[in-house]
Amino acid sequence: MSDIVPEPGSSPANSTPRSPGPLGLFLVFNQIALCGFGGTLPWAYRILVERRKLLTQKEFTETLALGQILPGPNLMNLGAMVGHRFAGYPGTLAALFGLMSLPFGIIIAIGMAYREFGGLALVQKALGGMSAVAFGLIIGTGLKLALGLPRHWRAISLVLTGFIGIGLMRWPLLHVLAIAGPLGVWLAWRERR
Amino acid sequence: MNTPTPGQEAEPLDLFLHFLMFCLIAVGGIGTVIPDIHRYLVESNGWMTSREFLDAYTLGQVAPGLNVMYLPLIGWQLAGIPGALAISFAVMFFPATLTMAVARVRAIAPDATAGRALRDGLSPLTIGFILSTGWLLVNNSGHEWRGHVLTAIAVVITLHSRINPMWLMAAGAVLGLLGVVG
Repeated sequence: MSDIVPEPGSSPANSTPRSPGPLGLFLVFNQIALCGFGGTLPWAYRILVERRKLLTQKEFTETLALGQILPGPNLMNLGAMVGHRFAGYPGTLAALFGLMSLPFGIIIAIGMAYREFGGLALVQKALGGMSAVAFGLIIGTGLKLALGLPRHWRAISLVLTGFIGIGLMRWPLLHVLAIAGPLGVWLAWRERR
Repeated sequence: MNTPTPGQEAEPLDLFLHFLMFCLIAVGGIGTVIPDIHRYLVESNGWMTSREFLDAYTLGQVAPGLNVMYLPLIGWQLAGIPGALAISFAVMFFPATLTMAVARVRAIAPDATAGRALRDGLSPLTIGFILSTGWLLVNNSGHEWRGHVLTAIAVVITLHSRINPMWLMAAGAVLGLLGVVG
C-alpha cells in the first residue's frame, strides 16, 4: 500500500509511465468526465488503466479505495492523487479542472433549458420517468454493495444503523456518523488484531 | 447546523461553507449526504421544492460528468453563476487539499491495518446511508405506484446486469412520456 502516491518522479523510469504533464492530465480527465454518461468510474478505469496505461489495475483499486474514505467525490480524490503523482500540485489542479470545467458549462446550459421548458407537461413526464429510474439505480447500487459485504453481525447491524438513523429517523448525518462511525471502526479494528 | 430564517436569499459564501461541510461528512461519496442537503435546501430554507430538487438530481445524472454535477446546477438555480462556482469549489476543496496530504502521509508511514479498519468500519455504515438516500428520494418523489414499480424494476436490473445506466434512464424517459409514471 506504500506505493499509492510516490513523490513525483521518485519511481524508476521503467515502472512509472512518462508523465503526461498538467495539460495532458487536464485532457485525460476531461475525456473521462465527458465519456461518463451514466457513471464515470468504468471510463476512468478504461482510460487510465487500459488505454493510457497510467496506472496498473492494482494501483487503480488502491487509489480509489483511499479516495472513498476521504471527503469529496471519490473520482475527484482519485484524480487529485493521480494528478499529483504525475505532475505535482499543478497536476492535481489540472485533473480536477479537467473533471469539472466542461461538465460545468454543460450543466448550466441544461439548467437554462430546464428554466425555460421545465414546466412543460411533457418535460415533467419524461423527468418523472427518469427520476424513478435514477432512484432505482441508487437503491440498486446500495443493495449491490450491501450484498458484497461479509455476512457478519457487525456489517449487517451497521448497515441497519445507517439506514434506520438517516432514512427512517431522519437524524442529521453528522450525529449518526459521530456515534456509529467510531464504533464501527473500533469493531473492525478489534477484529483485525 | 445553523438554520437561517426561511425566505432569506441564498448567498454564495453561505452555500460554499455549507457544501464544504456536507463534503467533509460525506464518507463514501456525496450520495450519502443527500438527505442532509435536501433538509438544508428544501426543509430548512425553502429555497426549492422537493420536486425541483429531484429534477435537478435527475438532470445531474443524465448530464455528462461526475454524478455530483447536480450540485453546481442547484447553485446556479439559487444564486446564479457565483452560486454555481461556490458549490463547485466546495466540492473540489478537499480533493485539492486533504487528499494529497493523506496520500503523502500514507506513502511515508503506511499503516495498512488502520486504513483497512477505517474502511471496513465505515463502509457498511455508508451503504446504510446510500440506501437512506434512495428511500428519501422515493418518499419525496410524489410518484404513484406505477412510478414505484419502475423504480423497483430499475433496482432489479441494476442488481442483475451490468448494462450502462444511461439505457435505463432513456427507457425511463420514454416510459415517462407515455404516461406510465403518472
